[in-house]
Amino acid sequence: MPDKADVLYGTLALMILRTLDVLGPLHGYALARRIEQISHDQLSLNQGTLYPALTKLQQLGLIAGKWGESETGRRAKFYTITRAGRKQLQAELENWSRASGIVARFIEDLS
Amino acid sequence: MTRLPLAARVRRTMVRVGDMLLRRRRDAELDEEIAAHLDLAAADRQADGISAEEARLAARRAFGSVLQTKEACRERRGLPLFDVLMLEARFGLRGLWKSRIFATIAILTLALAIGANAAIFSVIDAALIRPLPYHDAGRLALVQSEYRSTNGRGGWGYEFPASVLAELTQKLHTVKNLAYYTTTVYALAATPGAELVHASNVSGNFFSTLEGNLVAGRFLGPSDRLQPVVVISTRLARRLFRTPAAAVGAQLTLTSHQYVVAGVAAQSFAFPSRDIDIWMPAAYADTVRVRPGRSTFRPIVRLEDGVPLERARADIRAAVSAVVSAHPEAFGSREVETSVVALRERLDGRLRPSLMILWATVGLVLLIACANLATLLLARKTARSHETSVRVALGASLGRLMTRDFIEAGFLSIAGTTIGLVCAQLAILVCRRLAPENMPWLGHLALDRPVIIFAAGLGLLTIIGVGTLPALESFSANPNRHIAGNSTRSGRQMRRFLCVAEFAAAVVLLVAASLLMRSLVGLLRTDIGVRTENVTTASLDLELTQRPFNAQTTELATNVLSRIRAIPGVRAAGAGSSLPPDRSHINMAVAGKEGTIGFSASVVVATPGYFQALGIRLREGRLFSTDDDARHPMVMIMGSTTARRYFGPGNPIGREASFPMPPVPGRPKGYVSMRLVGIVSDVKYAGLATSPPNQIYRPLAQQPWPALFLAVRTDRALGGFSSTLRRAVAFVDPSLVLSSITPMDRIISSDVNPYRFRTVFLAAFAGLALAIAAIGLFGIMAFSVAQRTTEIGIRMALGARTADVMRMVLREGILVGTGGAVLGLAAAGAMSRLIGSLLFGVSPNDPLSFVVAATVLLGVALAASYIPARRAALVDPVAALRSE
Repeated sequence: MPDKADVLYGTLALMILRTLDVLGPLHGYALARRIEQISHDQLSLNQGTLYPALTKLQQLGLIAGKWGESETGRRAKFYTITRAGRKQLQAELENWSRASGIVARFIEDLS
Repeated sequence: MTRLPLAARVRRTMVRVGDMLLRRRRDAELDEEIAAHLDLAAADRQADGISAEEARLAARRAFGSVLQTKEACRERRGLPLFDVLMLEARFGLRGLWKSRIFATIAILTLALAIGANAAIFSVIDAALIRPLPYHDAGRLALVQSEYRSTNGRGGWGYEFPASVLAELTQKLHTVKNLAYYTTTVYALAATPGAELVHASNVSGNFFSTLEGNLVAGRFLGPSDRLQPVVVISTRLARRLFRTPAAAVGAQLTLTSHQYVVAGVAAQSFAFPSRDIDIWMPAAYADTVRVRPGRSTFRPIVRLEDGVPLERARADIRAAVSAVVSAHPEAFGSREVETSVVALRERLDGRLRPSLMILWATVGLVLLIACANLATLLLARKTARSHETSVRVALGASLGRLMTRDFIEAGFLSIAGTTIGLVCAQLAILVCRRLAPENMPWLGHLALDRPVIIFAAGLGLLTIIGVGTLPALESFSANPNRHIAGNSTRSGRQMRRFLCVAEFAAAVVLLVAASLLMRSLVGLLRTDIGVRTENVTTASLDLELTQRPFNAQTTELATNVLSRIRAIPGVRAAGAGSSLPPDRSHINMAVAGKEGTIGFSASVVVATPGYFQALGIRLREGRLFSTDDDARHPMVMIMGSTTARRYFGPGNPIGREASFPMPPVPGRPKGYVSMRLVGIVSDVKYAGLATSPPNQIYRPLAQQPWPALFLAVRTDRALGGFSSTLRRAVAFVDPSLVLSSITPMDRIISSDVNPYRFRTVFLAAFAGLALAIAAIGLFGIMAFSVAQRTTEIGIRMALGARTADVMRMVLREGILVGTGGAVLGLAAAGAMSRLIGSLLFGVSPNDPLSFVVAATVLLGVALAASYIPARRAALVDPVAALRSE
């Protein structure tokens, strides 16, 4: 198994926003699991690192947290993306696809 | 992530502040959230068939460090810089609480210094800074001219007829408005009798030129020129009509004419002076005068916008000279001295030097307090060097250490400033209560916004000033140091140096205070030439009754006096045109005869009894008698210095001299030849602090004069004497106006008030400075003894006696004291000339003041070191050595 990639700086927020946007409200653990699953376990994510990122996004008003009950009946905090979060996500995605497009062209054109 | 919009950043800050306030709750929430995460993760794994224990561990592994996560979230949440500050603040506060005595002393010193500064600033603000209550007052200026009046016969004029002023207005280019005014008095009909009010007769554009404030009715304008209308002061309106609004439209009787009140001027409207109660159109006032058409006025101008005072001054001077030259019939010669003074400058002029000196004084007190605080903080810092070293060794940054120093200084300063403002408020209340009549602005002091801002600014400066030195010490904080030894030599030197500087500054103030104190004592002891005890004075204005002023007027005065003399307990009574120390109706300058040197004198018109009532001693010849009237030869009495100056040595009694005398009905203005019949002791007619002017006395019967001062000497202080006097005067003629009934003592003491005021203040501040410096010395001595306990113990173990130890400690204190005294005396010697103008009868280099200051200082230094020295002497050598 190749080395797992470190989470690129700043991309964790994007992943969180995107995940919440697509899957709706999730608690911290579910969020961590989804991100791992989507990256096919290729990302080395200390699940704990999620929380500072969640704190920050919450402060910025991009996501909102609310206590609820998990499917197993455990009390947990569920996060949802806010309207500001969607807007931010849109901007970030555009940025990201532009940047990755440029990088992709470099890789293809110069090979 | 892209740059965040401003709104998001603001939101983040606000959330962070909120988080900080809800720290506990957020922490608990996070704990719970993480716990839930771990539970869910474990449950998930357990579902895959792993044992509960293993699932839990796996969940923990996948999560990473719980502690780090929490810390990371916490860091995200609060305001990190603020947290550090709070931490250090708590540290600092705890430290200060532990050394309460130190903190109390520090805060109190600072409070006293800042309080003194705020109080003096409030005085300065009230007197010098607060804008004058007139619109754009910076453009108002007074034109003060002095010209030789009519034909060089002596005498000076300061006022101009209205016609001349109208001509002057035409010639001015730099002036928007020229208004004019003069001051006078009226008899205000009251029940019972009449009272005297101060009034100003003003030009039609007077109010529109000044643009002051009104509280009711309207100001007078040009259309009121010939109307019997007046504006009255708020003070008079309240007294007569209860409220300003009620005064408008009311009638007043002033010197037997009726007037209607058109408006009430605001309390702040105090031009030409504070005691004015009535403003009346000059043109109308002139028509009801006994001799119309003779009114003269002083100009006040509002400069054209953008014209600097300098240019206006040249313009006005030239115009005044031109007008004077064009009217040889009105002015004695073409000589005219004109000064143009900004209104503010005129009003401030007298006060400014005293206030500036007081300000410098309190500034110095604050500097001393800061130096003192810095010394104490430095000493504390040294005492704490162990703790500092440990913190440095544990990795505390220089910034954190310095933060701590500034925070400590900040606490002290904030507390000091707050308490200082309370002190200032108390001082202001006291000042307001005690404000003497002739310093009314003291009553308007207030702890208002500028004063509070000023004090806050000072507090801030104090933080910087006081915090810097200890913070700089942090640079040399070194974990090894406390192993090497306790206090550094340089630290001790620095503290000693600061202490010497404090004492030096205190000496400067002590010298200034003792100089002023000696001046005040001199002033109080000064012989004004009269005996003031049991003398009651009053003002009697014969002209106010509207009788034509003539020789019969003097009879009225004679009748009043004989009526007063009949009152039981009255020993002597007289009337005169002047009253020492500086109340004078004729300050007529007298030019010498042609060929003799110029000679100016006060002419004092006096009745028989005037000298006896005031206790003016007869030196040679005789006093005036009832026979010295118009039918007998003209006579005069001179002050002894005047007689010697004019006639030279030898007995001048019986010699004749001629001087120009004020005009008298039936006798033209001009020189009058008079025989000298008596010589009396000199009297100070030109103020307490001024040497007596030349004085020539003339009998009232030969030199009638309408405005008189009564002086009545009684056997003892008589109760209700003023109403007795009023009754006596009213018995002779109910229309006579008797005013300002005042004991002579009170007149003198109110004249001394300004001197007393600045002396008391300066002495208080000097005492304060000395006390603060002494506290500082006590602090560093006590500290140094504490630091040297071991050393002292060793010395004693090696055979030093108690006396030796005491001497050793005292020597250090005396060294600091002497250093301060020498430096301070040198500085005082260089600076005492600055207060030369405030001194009376003392040279700025008065050796006694210097010696007293130095002695007091050394005494205080010795006293401040005595207790620490005692403590050092009581050190138990065994205990001291064992503690090491």
